[in-house]
Amino acid sequence: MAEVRVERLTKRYGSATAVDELDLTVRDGEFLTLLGPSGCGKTTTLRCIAGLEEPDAGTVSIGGRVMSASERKLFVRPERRDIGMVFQSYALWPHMTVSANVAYPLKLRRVPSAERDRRVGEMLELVGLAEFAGRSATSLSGGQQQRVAVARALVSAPRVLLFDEPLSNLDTRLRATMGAELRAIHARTGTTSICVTHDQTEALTLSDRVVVMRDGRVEQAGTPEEIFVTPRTRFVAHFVGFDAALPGRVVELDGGMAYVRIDGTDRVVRCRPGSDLPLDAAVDLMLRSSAVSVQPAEHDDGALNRVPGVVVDRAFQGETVQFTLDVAGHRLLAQVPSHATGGQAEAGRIDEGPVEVVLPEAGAFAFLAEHRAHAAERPAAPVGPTGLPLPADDLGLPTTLGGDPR
Amino acid sequence: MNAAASEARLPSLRRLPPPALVALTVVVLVLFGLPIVMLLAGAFRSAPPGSAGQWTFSAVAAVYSDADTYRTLGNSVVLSASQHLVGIALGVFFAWIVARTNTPLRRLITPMMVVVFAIPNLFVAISYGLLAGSPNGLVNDLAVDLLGGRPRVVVDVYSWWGLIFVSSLKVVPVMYLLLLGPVLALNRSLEEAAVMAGSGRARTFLRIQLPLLAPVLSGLAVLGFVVGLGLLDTPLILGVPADIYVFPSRIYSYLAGGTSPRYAEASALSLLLVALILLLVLARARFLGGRDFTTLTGKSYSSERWDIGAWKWACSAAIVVFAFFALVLPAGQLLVGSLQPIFGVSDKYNLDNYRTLLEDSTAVGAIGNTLLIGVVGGFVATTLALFVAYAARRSRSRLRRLPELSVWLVVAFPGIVLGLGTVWAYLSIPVLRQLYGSLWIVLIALVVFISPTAGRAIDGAVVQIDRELEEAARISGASATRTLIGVVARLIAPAFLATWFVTGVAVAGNLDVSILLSGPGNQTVPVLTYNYYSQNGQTEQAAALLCILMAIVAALFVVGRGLYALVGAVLAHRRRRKDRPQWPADVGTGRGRRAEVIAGG
Ligand SMILES: Nc1ncnc2c1ncn2[C@@H]1O[C@H](COP(=O)(O)OP(=O)(O)OP(=O)(O)O)[C@@H](O)[C@H]1O
Ligand SMILES: [Mg+2]
Repeated sequence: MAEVRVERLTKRYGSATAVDELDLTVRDGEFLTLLGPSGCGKTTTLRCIAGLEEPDAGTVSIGGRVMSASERKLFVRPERRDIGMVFQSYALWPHMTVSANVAYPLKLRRVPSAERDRRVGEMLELVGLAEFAGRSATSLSGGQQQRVAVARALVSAPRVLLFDEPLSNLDTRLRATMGAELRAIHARTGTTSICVTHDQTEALTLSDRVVVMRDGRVEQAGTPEEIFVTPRTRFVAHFVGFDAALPGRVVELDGGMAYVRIDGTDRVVRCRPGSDLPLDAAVDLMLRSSAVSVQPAEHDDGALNRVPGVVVDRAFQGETVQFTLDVAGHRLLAQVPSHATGGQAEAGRIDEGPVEVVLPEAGAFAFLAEHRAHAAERPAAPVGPTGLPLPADDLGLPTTLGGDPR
Repeated sequence: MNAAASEARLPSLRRLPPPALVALTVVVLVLFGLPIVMLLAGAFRSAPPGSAGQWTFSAVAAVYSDADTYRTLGNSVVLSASQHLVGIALGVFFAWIVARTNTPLRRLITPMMVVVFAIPNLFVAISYGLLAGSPNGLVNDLAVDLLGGRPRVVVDVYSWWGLIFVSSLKVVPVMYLLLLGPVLALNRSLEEAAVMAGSGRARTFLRIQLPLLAPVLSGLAVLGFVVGLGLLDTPLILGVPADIYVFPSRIYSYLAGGTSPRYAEASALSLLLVALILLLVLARARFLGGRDFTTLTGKSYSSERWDIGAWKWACSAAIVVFAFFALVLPAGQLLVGSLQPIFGVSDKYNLDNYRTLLEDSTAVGAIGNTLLIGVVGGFVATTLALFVAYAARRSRSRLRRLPELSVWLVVAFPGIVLGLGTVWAYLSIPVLRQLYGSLWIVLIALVVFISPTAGRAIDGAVVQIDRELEEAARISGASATRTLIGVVARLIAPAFLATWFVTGVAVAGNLDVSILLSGPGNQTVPVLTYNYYSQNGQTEQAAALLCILMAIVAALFVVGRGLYALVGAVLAHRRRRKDRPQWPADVGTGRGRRAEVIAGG
């Protein structure tokens, strides 16, 4: 067991920086997930920890031992780091049987063959593949291969386990069971584990702590609940499913809450500030579409967190009804439980036309707008030919967010 | 910190390439770069290699202003172009038979082509020289029997037609093996759509399939043409007696023709040839976008074959005819010739020629040398190719592509030119001069010559090894070396063995490179055979020697296959007992691999 500490880790490929002065601590016995969009440097970070890449700067230490410190030209080769890794392709050796694959790390550690056989047997038992021991490793199905890879990574009782997108090659159903199995194995062995994924559900269900990465840096770290419930940046919010946004301006700050007037209206929304906000700051109000509800317009009395809107489109989706709304020229999505699930009766009634949109208080966050100048020129999001809004491109696409703070 | 002991200090790893890579680069540069550079310099020297001389333009001026040079150029172009036209046409034809028709004998084509491919040019050329070059050969015997009259040369293979015919026989299998993949991979639905639209089958082939193959065909044509420009053996044996000179035989005649060898002139002519080849290779890369047409998938389609009706008998006949001319006739003539104490006298057959050879220390020595060269040379070339390919694929140093590039440059240097460059390099440099006249220099030159071929085959295999397989071994606790041996070597073994065999055979049968390097002390079978055939008029012994060479190759193949199967069986047995690793699948029987091996040559 060991703590993994990464300090100011930097890795460049040519002129591109894949990992940029990244700091990260994984506590002893913790299951930590690196989450982030494609290309944000998750794999690179993992490979630097494994010793498969040599960092350009920074230090990596495992269990208090420095593994690489570029400034001191110090580098421990991967085979000396005492780690286990499950590769995305599983990387089972095709010229070996299942049990030979699992036995290999022990063989390299010169474990006597009787002991070796016993531990391989135990491991295969653990992953439920005992009867496949003599089969050729690559003749197994994807899920089975993955379990062999897990067994191979675990067999030498390494101090740290690394996973690179362990579930991405599996189908949805297998993904859920394997995820649960990984969790169970971790609970049993208690090995410090780092897992890379770009799937938020996977990250939330697997891990003790999630680190959201962006452009080679840590954007936010916290428990799955913290990340999911209280994102601290707009990027994280978007990444964990805050899929609706409205532009506004801070009109009052009081008791830890912010009051934001939605642009183009005189309505004020009481919400939580995503970070420190100055008065009169231009902000984006971020919400989950499932937290937005819709009422018939007659209730409208100008109260807090209620804004008038117009239904542009209504799509029945089984358990929910998705409304595409126009709020003062801004597109907003609302997922309302349908009458099928005993949800709001209104969802069955409301059709086209003016409505009152109810915005949540706890589930709405105001983040400093990064594209205000841009957004001001273009009050409404473009609407596609079917009347559905095109994806709002000032929302979370990381490339457009690197933003100059004009 | 107590862990400091096991922390490796890195000598500024980012700037300095790893020592193994530096060593590899130096070895490759010396092996491959030196002959090229020395050849270049040699064209401007007034004296032969190893003697004092001045820098001069006289040789270059003389050669480049000689009308003969341009006649030679014309001959080279005509010969190479014509043999490849025939080769490609027949190659497509046979590939189409295999891929699409219900011709009864189609399954024989691939094994036949592989055998024809494996037989050295020298074998076929000498055999045809015997068959149809003298009044005593089988062909003229038969012709005289039919026509009557006294023994004479009715069909003369020492002519343009003979030269083109015999050269083409050896080009067909190369083209066939390279084209089989693309023809198999042709999109069948396009063809079916055409047939549905009412197009006839023959028409579909000409209108739909040939155009689809056009890029592949044009790429192969250029490549084959370039290779054809550099071949010495057949033009030397069949062309020179008819006074038909192409580049390689002209280079050879500068060195062996007159009273004293004219090295500078030979080098100047070589440079012209190399320049021409480089130009064509670059033009091909430019116009065809450097596409590699030989990376074939071994995918086979098991859909319906065309029933070509009575034509299938015509196609079968074509297969038989080709086998007869490319295989049966030359092999038969050599066998018959080797058993005749006096060539062409057909009333007495015995083993006298073999007895004489085996009592002659020169011949026995040559056989030993050739075996050594084949086995060791093939192994060294394959190993070198593996390191070069591995470095190019896995290293992150800036140096990593240099060895690969040097190896590729050799492609532009035909055998005789490389032999000449080797002479320059190893005679001019004092330390290396000691190697001259020894078997080692022949070995080195042949390794250099065959390396691009080996490289092509091995690179394909290295590419297929997923990098994560190696990384998984590192993480499991294996050092880099251990990973190379325990994982990479095991995965590459089948390709390695196949490449070793193919390059070994190619090296053992090579005349082009060794003809300038091998003398009385370090003779190889091809060179000795050529000497017997051309100079001493000991045709019978030339035939016997070739038969021995082929017998040895066949024996090695059988023994090698057997050993491989045995090792596989033993390992499989151990695995059954102990759950041990299994032996990788069969030695490269995939068409793709074989084709790639060939494409380098
Ligand atoms: N070997 C390499 N050479 C050059 N650039 C690389 C290399 N490996 C990664 N990169 C670049 O570094 C950046 C980070 O890559 P990395 O593989 O760490 O991303 P990731 O977060 O794992 O993405 P994904 O979710 O798609 O796997 C990317 O921009 C990528 O293009
Ligand atoms: Mg990745």
